[in-house]
Amino acid sequence: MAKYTIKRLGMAFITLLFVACLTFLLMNSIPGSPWLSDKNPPQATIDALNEKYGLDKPVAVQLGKYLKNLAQGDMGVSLKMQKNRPVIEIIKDMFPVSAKIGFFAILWAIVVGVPLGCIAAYNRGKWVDSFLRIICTIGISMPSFVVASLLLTTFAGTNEALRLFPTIFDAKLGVNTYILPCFALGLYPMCYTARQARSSMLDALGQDYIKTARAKGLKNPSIIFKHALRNALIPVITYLGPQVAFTFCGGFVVEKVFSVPGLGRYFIQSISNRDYPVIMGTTVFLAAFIILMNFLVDVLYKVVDPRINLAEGGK
Amino acid sequence: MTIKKAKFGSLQPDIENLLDLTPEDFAPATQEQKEGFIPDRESTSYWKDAWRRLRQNKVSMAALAVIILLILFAFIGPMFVPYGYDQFNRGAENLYPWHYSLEDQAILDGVLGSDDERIEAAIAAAEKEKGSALTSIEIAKIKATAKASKLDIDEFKKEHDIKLKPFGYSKSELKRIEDGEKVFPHVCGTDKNGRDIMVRLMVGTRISMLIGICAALLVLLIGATYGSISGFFGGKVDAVMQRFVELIYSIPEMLVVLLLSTALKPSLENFQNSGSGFFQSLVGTLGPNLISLFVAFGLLYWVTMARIIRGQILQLKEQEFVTAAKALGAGSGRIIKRHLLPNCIGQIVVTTCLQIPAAIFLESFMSFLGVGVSSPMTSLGSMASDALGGVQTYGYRLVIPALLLSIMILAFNLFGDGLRDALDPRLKK
Repeated sequence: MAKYTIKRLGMAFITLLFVACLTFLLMNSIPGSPWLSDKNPPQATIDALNEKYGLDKPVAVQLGKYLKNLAQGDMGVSLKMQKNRPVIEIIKDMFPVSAKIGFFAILWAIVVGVPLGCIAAYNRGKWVDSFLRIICTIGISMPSFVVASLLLTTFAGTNEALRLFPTIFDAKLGVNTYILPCFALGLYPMCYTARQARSSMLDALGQDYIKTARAKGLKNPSIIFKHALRNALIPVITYLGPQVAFTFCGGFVVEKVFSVPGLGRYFIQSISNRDYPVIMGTTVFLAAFIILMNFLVDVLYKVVDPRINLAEGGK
Repeated sequence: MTIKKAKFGSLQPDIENLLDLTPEDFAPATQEQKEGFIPDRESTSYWKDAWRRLRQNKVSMAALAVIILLILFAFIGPMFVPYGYDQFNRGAENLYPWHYSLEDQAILDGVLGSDDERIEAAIAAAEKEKGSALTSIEIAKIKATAKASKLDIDEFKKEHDIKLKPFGYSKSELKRIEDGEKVFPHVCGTDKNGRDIMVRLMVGTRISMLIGICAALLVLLIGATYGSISGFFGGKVDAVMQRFVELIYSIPEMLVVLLLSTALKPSLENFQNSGSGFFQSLVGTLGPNLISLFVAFGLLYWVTMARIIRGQILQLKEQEFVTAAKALGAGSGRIIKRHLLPNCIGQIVVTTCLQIPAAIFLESFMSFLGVGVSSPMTSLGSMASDALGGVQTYGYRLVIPALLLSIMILAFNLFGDGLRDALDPRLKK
């Protein structure tokens, strides 16, 4: 296990480095500069600003310096959007908002999706199964911005009777303001989880140990929850890592629809503003977060199925 | 006597008379009999068999029909509509997909006056009452109540039997119709610049489909090459190549695609303006934004395909026919191309087909965030994004492209599922 952890950490480090370098190069190949805005400053000012923030040096030198600072936990300061404010502080401000929505979205996706999948598998071929399958296929075919904007027009629109939720996200309003964004964001993962859970549950229910359990005279709930579910969960968990990443990134769109002051929306604004340290900071942070999630999912494997030997990569 | 065959020429004996055999029955078949041989079943190829299974799947066939309809809508449709997707129709701005006939409009106007007139009258009345100029808040309030009072006209409409008629026409267009001219309706209304929404929907669908298919083919090309090389050579080559796959796998795709498509755009624009060769004009017709989008997609999304193909090749390469090919002196390239890849064609087709909705999904995300196709070109995602601003008044502008997009992705998903069941029955659950 220790060897495996070290190997994983090494891989994570290389990935992070790769992402950082790639982002840095891509970012610098976008023409434009953070100093250009409506009022075009004179060239002398631009030069002075470039010198002050080290933008006049070759890209390779800038990259080296950035990586060195990053290793010491310094992500630089924002150049434009919140001028001279440390990027770390900005992330600390914005990430909790995104994380909260993402967390609740994933939570409802799992809490609802897995049981739905089990119900469908248990009632295979009956109308419950077909009904759930139709719902879930429709669910994975609707981009989250479609869901979000349809919800927004229906439940926060002009119709007084249905106007149950606020149109613009405001953390002060409490639970009410979270419901629509979390629902919109979690619908896709919920449907996907349900489909996944259904097929792996069917797999598990066809196994010999289930027959044995039945032969022993166990009751259905006991068979499903104690014997089948644990094994059926493994493929579901496999998908959870990338799913978490996708949900957090899908959050960009939902954040735009509901005007949530989250990290995703900020990231997009930072690209159009060429605010280099903010672009780098958010990308590196989100990449690190996703890598961490994938690692946690691997550890979760082991909890669910002790037979899995992580060290040999036996998935 | 000869055996009574179940059917003339059939090789299957009639089981009931099976035991009434005479020695002549064991004589070799004559030339005549051989020529008269009719096989019991026609031999079927892999594709015929798959097509038979697919045809039985009603859901998939319905999805296929929807896809074909969408293709017709997107590629043939614009030829029948006399409006261009980027054509501003003067005087036809902000039309709903429905209209009132001219007489009805006249009655309505007579009762209500136009919006502005009513508001002005209300403001003037309030000013008189108050005796001084109104604050902007008060004016806003009056405007709001004036707009809200529109709701009362429902009763009035019923009384005079005023009904909405389908399709949008502007007033001048209605007059031209009265004069006997033929005017093509704005079936889905127009946007704030007077552009016909249906044509834009057609063009948008076309863009989404093109991106989906091109990106899926790109993924196929990269993924199949990479996966087969990695799987076939195995050992150290495989180890290194798989580390790289893992690396790409854990990159936050959305972030990099966003950056990549923004970064590629200017260099593609430069390339487009650098000359007038075939590739330059290709970039010109497709638009740099579009190309950068699917290049970004192709560069990041091939990993799933590569993994699947590698897994297949790892299994296949141990089989005897590969050893036989090696013994006959076939090179690695030939074995991969002629022997291994054709054997995983089912998996390849299915994965490619399911890649299409994924690409459409991503394109709509990007366009919605404003980094997809650039104006005046349009896509379903950017249409939905544009509509978000006036969504309370012009909800249909959001709902129609959103529904079209969802239906398209749904159809591709269902068809892909059916294709998987048909091509690879082992996977069916």
